Amino acid sequence: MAGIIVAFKSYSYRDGIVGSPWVGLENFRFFFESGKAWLVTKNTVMYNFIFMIVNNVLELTFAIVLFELAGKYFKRFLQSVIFLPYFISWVVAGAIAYNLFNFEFGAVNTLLESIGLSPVNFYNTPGLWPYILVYFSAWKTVGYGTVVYLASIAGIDTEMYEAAKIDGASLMQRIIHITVPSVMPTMIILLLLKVSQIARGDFGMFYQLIGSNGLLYDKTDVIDTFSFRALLDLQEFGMAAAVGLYQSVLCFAIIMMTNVTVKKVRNESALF
Amino acid sequence: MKNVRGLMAIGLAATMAVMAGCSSNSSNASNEPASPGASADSTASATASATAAPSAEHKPDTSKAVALKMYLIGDPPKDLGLVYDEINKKMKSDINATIEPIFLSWGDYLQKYPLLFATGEDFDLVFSADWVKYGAQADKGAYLELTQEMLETYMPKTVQEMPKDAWDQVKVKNKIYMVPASTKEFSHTVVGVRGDLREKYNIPPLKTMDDFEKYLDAIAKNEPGLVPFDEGVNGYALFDQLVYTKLTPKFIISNSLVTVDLKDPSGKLVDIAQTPEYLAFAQKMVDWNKKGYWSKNAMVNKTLIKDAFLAGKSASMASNITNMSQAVTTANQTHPEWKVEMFDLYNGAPTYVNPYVGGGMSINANSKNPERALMALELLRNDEEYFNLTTYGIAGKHYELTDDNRIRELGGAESGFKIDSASPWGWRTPAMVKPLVDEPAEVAAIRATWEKTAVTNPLLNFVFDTTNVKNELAAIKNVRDQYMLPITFGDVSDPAEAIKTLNAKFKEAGLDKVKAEAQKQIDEFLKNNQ
Repeated sequence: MAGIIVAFKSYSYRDGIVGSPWVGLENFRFFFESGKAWLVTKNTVMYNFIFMIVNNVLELTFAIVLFELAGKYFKRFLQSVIFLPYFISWVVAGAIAYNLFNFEFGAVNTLLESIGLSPVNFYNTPGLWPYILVYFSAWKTVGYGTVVYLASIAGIDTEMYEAAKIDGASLMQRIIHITVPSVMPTMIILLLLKVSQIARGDFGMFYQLIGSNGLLYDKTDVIDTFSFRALLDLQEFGMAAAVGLYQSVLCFAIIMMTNVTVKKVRNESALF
Repeated sequence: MKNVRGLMAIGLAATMAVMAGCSSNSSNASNEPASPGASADSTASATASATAAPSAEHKPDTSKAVALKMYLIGDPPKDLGLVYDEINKKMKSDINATIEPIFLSWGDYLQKYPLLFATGEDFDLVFSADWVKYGAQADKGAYLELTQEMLETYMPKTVQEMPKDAWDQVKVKNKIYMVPASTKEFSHTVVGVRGDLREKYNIPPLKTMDDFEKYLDAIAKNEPGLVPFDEGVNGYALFDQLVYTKLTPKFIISNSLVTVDLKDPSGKLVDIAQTPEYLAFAQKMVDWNKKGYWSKNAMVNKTLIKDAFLAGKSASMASNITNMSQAVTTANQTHPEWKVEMFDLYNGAPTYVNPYVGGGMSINANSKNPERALMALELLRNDEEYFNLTTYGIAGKHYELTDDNRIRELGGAESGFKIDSASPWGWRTPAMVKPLVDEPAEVAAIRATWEKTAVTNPLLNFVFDTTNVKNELAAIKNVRDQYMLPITFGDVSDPAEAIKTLNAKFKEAGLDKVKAEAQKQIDEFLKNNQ
């Protein structure tokens, strides 16, 4: 609540949250008059939407493959490898990316040169970054989601599989007609949780991978990085709160719309 | 079922009430600070007027023991505890107080610094400077106002020692919130190069930027293992060297290139982005980037150029003279065969002394013991023993004083308390600072030259009040990051076109409005300071 109030005030330490003077919509001006408001909002929502779809599909696929795989130890090993990047911080991931994509000594460019291709200046080519970002997002988070889906698949009654086998269902048929429908409720809950955060960019990821590289901003700037840069020097609490409020309102609107849609399609899976 | 629901509702309501209580509490807490500060003011002035002769005979009451907390910016050295134990033994007997330094690390001080005041934390002394937004923080009520009576009562030596214009320079809306360090500092850059390589390629000692270019060129052509100048994201030295030497600018609007030329007494704003000098600079940077003087990805490079140089990865470095003095000293200790040299490329071009607002100490508006904090600061600034301890460490363990009153560092790279490592720059005074034994000989000479070429201009003290243009400044910051940095690193294909875009975007962000506001304030300022 305090955040919502501060968004409409010129905050000073002396006067506190209640005592600071009201300034109306003044704190919102910088964001909407920057000419970038639409661009960064679009980037934020689009990136999160793509991350959500790609990551969920990968997570479900990996979970099913892992579940069907034979060999207990190989399965455990694979699961750990996929899960590992989840524990790596974005700071380290940013350093890894720099060593991969550096123009002079990066691993990717060294490889390209060794097979006779000309090197690519990644940090100068905005068009490549949506793919790189989607890749890194998947690399880091898919392991976690896979475990959630695995748990959900493990909860499916094994008698159903046995019955299907006896009736002559192939592996693919069993996956499509038993596994996928059984994990649908889990999937919808996960998606709804992601949708509720759709207007909030993953600051750590965008900040560490892109940093101060202005050449890429048109393709990679999200609300969080944009306002962070704009306000770092000013240190205006009110303006930061204003951006936060804008994101909250946006998230609220989107989650309400999604919930209504879910209710129509599949009433029992709706959040409320 | 009904009952359970009712319970839940009550539970929820209770939670909300607690939360609401929290927020109103915190606002009360942040409402309060004004009163203790104000009462301290009034008691100070009351006692001062009561005794009639404030400075000399007045002995403040120190009967109650006090533990002071002091926030500094930097990373604490290993032997910090040892050194401050020593200080506290003395301080206990002198003013019946102890002092505990707490550090905000270089990595996140910008985010944490304003939070110190926003959370209403209880501490007494805090480092302040224009680069931690001293003016804006003071405006928001972060610091205690220091009245003339307070200063004369608790810091008589400081009042004597401080240059008159220093007090004027730290005033925010005519009130003093900072006791500035009183040493003369320059932020102009010097370059450091490998003497062995310079001689190998027959390049005479560097005098100008063109000589430096010859050196970089020789390295780029002949030393494939070395980056000639490993520019990184925080780099500003080349801009300084190429543009400052021509214009003597003082930046007025942060994150843009709007400045005043300190050689021009009229105080007319100059937008460097629209000058031919800037175009020449941009073209040179593109040229140097193409020739491979630094990485194509300099904009993502976070390694400091000094560190790349000391690690043997690059062949030159540049930074302000204090930084370079330390780097050259270190290089000559670890790699004497490099014969590292330092050159001033200003070559007689006008310089200026940094305004005193570049570093000092302030009292937290929330402080419960502002009197004792000021007395402690007085000791740190003007008592040689305190000053030596905080700056150089423990005599015989971390440093020794030579017969000609120079400092010799002990313990080498392993020393637990290197010079200046405990961030004592808030209380530097010229009478206390001593030269180092193995400081490069050039340092003193360069400083002396710069003091001679320094211009004076009342506008050095001008502080832009940004209250009316905050929204525009936020937009300008983003334009800088997106359109100006690529020019600085030569990462654009057509410099003239890039500058045109930059200026168009600045205009869109409302730079003209900010300029008009700044010009208005400057004219006003000059009228009052003739």
